[in-house]
Amino acid sequence: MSDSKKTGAAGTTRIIGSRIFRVFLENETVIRKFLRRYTSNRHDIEDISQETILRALHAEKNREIHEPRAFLFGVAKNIARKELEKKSRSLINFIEDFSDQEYCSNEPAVDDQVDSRQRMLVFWQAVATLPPQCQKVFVLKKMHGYSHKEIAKSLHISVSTVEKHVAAGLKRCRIYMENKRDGDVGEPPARANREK
Amino acid sequence: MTEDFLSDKRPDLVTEACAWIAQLETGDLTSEDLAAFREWMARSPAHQQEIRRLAYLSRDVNILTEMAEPLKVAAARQRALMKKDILTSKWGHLRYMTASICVALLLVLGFFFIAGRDSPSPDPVLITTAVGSHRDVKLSDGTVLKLNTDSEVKIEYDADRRKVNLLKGEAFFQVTHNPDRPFIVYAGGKSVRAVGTAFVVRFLPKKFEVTVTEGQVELLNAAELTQDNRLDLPEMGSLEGAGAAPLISSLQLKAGESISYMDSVQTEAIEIISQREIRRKLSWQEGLLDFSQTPLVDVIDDLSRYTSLKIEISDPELRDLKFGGIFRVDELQALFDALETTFDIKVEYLENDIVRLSHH
Repeated sequence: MSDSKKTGAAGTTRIIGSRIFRVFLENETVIRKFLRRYTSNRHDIEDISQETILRALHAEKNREIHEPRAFLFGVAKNIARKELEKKSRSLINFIEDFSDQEYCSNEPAVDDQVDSRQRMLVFWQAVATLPPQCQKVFVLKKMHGYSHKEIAKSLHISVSTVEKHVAAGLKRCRIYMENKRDGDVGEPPARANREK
Repeated sequence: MTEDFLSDKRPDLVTEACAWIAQLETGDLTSEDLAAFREWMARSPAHQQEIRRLAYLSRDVNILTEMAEPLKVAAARQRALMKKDILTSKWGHLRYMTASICVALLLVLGFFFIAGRDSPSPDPVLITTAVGSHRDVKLSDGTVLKLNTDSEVKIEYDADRRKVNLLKGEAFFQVTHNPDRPFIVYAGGKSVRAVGTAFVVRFLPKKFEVTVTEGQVELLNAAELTQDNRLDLPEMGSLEGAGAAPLISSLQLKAGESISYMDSVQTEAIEIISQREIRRKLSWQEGLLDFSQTPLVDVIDDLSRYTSLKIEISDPELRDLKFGGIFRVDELQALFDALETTFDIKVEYLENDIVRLSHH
């Protein structure tokens, strides 16, 4: 990122003639809109979108990009994902710091066991069974990347209530994922169980 | 084992750990909070293991963003659309309604089936769903019936047979085992016969499809039935005797197998499908649409069942574009957004509930 910035004036002329840059400008609004899926934070969106064009320009130097638009969206998505990952990483690191060093989990990560598409469905099943308000909070948090404070503000509830809903949602996901792991692919506590 | 010891305490441990994760994610912890957290972590390795696991899980749940829509943009556009009440995004509300209707239906069904034991042919029961809704019903024999959008079934149980006539749409059946009383679904001149198994029957204007998820069914293709849609089929045995009967064919479908008949295509072939494909075919039960490498024309066909919008593909070359993703039935807007952002397709909202897809 900083490398490209350093190229200065020479870089600018190259940018002007760049096809990918032109495509980027044409699609900038759509790309930002797309990024809102990953974060609600305006600055993050700005950063990711900058990073996207810088990386794309760099890539263009080395090879021809056949589908510039698709390429840009792909890059943007990758960066956005990494950013999300980074945020969660910091929580994981924080917890690791608090853990005893000698204790080491030999449990495989969820990733290894259940593919991502399936994970998405399991989580969604879990989310679908949450009470309405709890679901709303969890969806804002996990699907739209809002912070607890933003959620509290927009739903007119306290941050501690948001925390409670997030905790409940997480617990539900945990239970569903555990059932999944135990091979119980079957019915979630469905409405179908209501009988007589 | 220690598992037993743990399992008593675990529900609380999970709840506590979830509460901690949520609090940590808020971001501002006082020194007292930190001290409390340190103390909690020090209680046992199980505490540490649980919270680690949850931290990773919490990260993994982020995958849901892939399913989300760009909220604000979509919300604004949807508001404009909703004024005219074009989008049938009633799923959420219908769920509650459905619940009460289901209870009511169960009472009705219960009555019929209790009464049915004495009288040989009880009145049939009709169950329907509106466009964009779905419904789960448990029948008197324990069989679970799940109806997808815009569907209609007629249920006729008698002492010897459990007959269900799928008049239109799509239904999933989780059939309670009873060899003495076979379960038979009739649709479009075909019948699907099961003893104890689970399968989906899709009966759309252009397509008939059966997918078996558990056990085995016998599919009977009887062209003569299309005329009057009559429910009385001869028993399987007598058909085998008939042998050469050109209009009737029978075949077995096992779990993981699917067969479809298109209006335009005469041939039929049993297709063995993956677990993943099965899950995709069942995803409507979760209120989801799940596509993977699906030609756009099929996506739109499928989509049209869930909405009153008329979706047109104006550029023929778009029809074969391969499309993938998981979308919520009640947020079709997200799907349109995905078409716009990832495929460079122009989505226009025209009068008379028409949505037109074209090249940019």
